[in-house]
Amino acid sequence: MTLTRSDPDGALEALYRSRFPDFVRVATAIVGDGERARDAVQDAFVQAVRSRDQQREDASLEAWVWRIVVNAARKSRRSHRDESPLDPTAPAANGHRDDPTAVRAAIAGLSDRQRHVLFLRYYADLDYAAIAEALEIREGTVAATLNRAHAALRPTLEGLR
Amino acid sequence: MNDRDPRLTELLDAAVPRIADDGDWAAVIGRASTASRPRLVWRRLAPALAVAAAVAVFAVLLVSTDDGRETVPATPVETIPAPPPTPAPTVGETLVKENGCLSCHLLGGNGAEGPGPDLSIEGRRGRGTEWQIKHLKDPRSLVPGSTMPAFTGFTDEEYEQIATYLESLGVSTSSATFSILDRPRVPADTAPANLVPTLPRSPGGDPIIDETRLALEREGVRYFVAPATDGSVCVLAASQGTVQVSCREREVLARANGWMILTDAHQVTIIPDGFDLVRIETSTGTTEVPIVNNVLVVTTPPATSPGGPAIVTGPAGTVELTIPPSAGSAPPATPPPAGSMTTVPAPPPPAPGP
Repeated sequence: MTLTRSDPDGALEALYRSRFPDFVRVATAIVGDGERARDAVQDAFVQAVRSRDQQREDASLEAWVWRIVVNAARKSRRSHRDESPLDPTAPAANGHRDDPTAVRAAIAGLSDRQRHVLFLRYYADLDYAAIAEALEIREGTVAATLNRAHAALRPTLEGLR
Repeated sequence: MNDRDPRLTELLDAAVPRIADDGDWAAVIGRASTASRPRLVWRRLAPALAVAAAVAVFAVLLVSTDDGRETVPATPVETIPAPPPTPAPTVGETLVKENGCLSCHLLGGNGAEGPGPDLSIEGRRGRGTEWQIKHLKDPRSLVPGSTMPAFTGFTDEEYEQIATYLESLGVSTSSATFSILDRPRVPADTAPANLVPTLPRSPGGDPIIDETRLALEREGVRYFVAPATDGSVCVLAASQGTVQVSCREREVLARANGWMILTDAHQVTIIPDGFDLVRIETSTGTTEVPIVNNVLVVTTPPATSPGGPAIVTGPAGTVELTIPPSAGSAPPATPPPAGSMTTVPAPPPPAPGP
């Protein structure tokens, strides 16, 4: 039985295997819990395998998958709104002693779009076009959003220096 | 792209470090292969599905042959048992569900409402497996103007499996699960007054809900459906003759005459408390069908259903409807087993290809 017809060229599997930690990382930043983030990524790939044929041929497979992952993470987040790793009251995920609460608070205070652009840029290293595709916004909006996020965080960051 | 703040990079790295994790691709594939898709259209198609799933609080049904012969003779009455186990999906089913067919088609209430037609009764359209395979490979060669993409990546065996599966849809076994436990019950002494005024009227005077009618016609089934006051569904379907439902053999609640043709013929309805008889009148006579345990099932006449019509009554629960493969094939020679009923297939409607 052919079970992976929706991934005929193995591209989804290759993407999964090469970038799973990054998917989980971004999802964790959005969801606020590593385990649930991992579940969200798994859910997202199940959906991607099922609906691979819906991906537009002119669109990047990776950006399309990121979109599904981000949406799965958002969905998970919505059901656990009280948690975020960037919540100023939460400890650093790795117990980092220098993790400044002020910056975490500043990040937590960004809009969802700003945070998501930030996460995809910093954690996933996606370019603007891919971020635009993943978040279903225009490329110009990505740049503007990232600029605004940086501007919002700058005073706090400079206060650390 | 040099647009990242080094300090922020460091802080974000600290907040959510990258953790080595290979994931579990096998689990992804396993779930993608077995889990069902979300039921996207249940709410929108609820009235149609209510009919398909045979849920109705009150029904009037006429079954009549074109030659006007008596259509519903005395029939066996059986108790409906617990539902049978769901059979494992076939390879063809898996291929259909895993290759995006449900992005454009409905199938058993799952999938998208369009642009393709509902596949749930694809097997009743009289296409044949050869047609299905050719259609999969080049839809527009058979359905001019079709927007369905060509599916060219399957092996010959897989094409056969998909075609066989599609041809089985609507003609093999389907299960209808319903429950009335959480529905408001209509007290026996108030049922007639509650039900009769609830039938909405079209400008022509017939009880019709266009949206529901259209949804049902897409499936090649012509019913009229109207809501009852308790939120459930009233199904009226008729062609020639009249239908009367009696409450304790006294009151006529509804009459259907000359409405659209009920092409095939199965109807399972849940009748509220207080109704104990359905009387079906045709030009050649009258048949009275008892209602037992609030469930009434009526099928088409023996002329088109050599296995014999079945009127199955039983408690609320699950009813399995078994429809013979096609008009030309051998019907069941024996009465249907408990928990199933035999109906005739609908004539192939002029529906477009999937």
